[in-house]
Amino acid sequence: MVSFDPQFLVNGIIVGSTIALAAIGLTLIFGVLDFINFAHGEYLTMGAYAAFVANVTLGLPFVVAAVVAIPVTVVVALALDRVVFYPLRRQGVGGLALLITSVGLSMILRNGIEMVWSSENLRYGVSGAESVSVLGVRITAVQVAIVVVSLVLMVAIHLLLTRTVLGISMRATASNRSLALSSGVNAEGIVTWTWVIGAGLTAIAGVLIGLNTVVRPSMGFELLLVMFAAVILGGIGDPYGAMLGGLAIGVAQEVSVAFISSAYKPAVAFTIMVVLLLWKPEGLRGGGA
Amino acid sequence: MSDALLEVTDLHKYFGGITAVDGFDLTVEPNSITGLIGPNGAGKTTVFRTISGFHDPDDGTVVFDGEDITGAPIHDVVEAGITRTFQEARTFPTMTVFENLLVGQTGHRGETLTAATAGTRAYREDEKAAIDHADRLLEFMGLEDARDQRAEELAVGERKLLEIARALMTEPELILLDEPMAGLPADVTADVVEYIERIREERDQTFLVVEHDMDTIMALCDSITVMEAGRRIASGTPDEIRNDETVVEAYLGEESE
Repeated sequence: MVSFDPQFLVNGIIVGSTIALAAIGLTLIFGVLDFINFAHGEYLTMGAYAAFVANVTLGLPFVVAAVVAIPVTVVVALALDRVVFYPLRRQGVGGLALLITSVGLSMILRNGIEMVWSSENLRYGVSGAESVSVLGVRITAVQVAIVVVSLVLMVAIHLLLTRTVLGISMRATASNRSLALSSGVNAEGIVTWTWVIGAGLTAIAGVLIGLNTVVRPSMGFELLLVMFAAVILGGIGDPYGAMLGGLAIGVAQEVSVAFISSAYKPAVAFTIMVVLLLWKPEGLRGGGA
Repeated sequence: MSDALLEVTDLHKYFGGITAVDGFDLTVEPNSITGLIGPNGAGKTTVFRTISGFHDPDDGTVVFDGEDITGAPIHDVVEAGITRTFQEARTFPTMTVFENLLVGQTGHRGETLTAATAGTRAYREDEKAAIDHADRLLEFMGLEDARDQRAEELAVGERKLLEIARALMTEPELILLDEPMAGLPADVTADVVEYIERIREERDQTFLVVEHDMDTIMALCDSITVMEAGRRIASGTPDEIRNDETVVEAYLGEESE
């Protein structure tokens, strides 16, 4: 019997909080636009590469580069919506056609990134990788920063969704689109802000994941299924569920390493998801958005 | 007739080869409760959906308060002063009663993140006005005790009142009620009728109502338009409609069969 090492739990919180951020973006976009965006992983990758270019290629300080990654990713996401998704939406194309389109978009973006930067692992020019030991758990300053940034953003999202008319309109649009429209909500305006917030959060998640591991073209795609698991675990379209689901999946994956080979991490995420779907199909929190 | 609040003229709507609305005319006078009745499939729902912006008409015009709103997008129709309710007491179920009302405020401001988060003075004043407005409406509708409950926790009658309150939040001049009594228990129906009459009196609102319950329609409306096969076949006061032979044949006759 292996004695349980709290190190795995801490690793899980670090990984889980970044997954949670990206999963909020995915679930908001699903709720408001009513389709599953398979290119969401590439938005995460774009965020990581935008920060890499700003930090390593252009030599900006890392924090500045991380902030620059947000508007860059948001602008690309909005441009892709305008050019790819908006025309389809206007024709009244259903969620399935949008989903297939986003699968294609995902491949184009991933391969495009690989053509420019190759598939090698890249790293940001950041120090702070020396770990300190707290109560037998090794943790770096960078990792503490990752968790703090993630938590602050989750609180900010909570305030946005509950304390602002914009946030309330977003939840209303996700909950019942025609009723929201009849209440005077400008749906395309809400769609735009959903991309801004969803892509922005995902870009930050990408930067934080790149900081914790490495930056490479497939980083977002590899996390896409884990993000799906988090979103489904939390109840599709429910941003609080996505936070909870992301943390739960992250912790479960890392803790599983104490018992089985780390090669099975994704399998752990999916086992949890399947078991939960069988037991509680509406997600951890019950209800919808 | 030129001072009518809503003037629908020669409206046409086709779905594929089906003619849903076939040259329909409708006039709604200010501060009236106007009923729209007709047998199933007469096109009432399509007319409702077209006026409120859910469908583009294939021909004809919709003029509201002197403004041509034919084919305008839904949020522009709401902005112009028309909002609607749905048959089955639609709410945002997991949001609180208070939040349900605030959604009705979105047309005014707040759909920009800057305004919502930067804490500009204009936004704070708007926000305060919205909160006051919502609280006043909750009190008016007798829902103030349910303010922080989730909408799904309310009884069906309260959900209907909440839906009407949310509609009032958009500061409409005309409210389209789509079968407001559908699925409501009899004692609640009386309540809803009372609220509709009170809102008309005290808030100077105009209503256009589609309803199958003939007793309610006859008691509630001061003017009724009857539709059959996509056209208007009669309009007048409840008494005139009751005694109109065409109507009795087309509609009331069907009921008794």
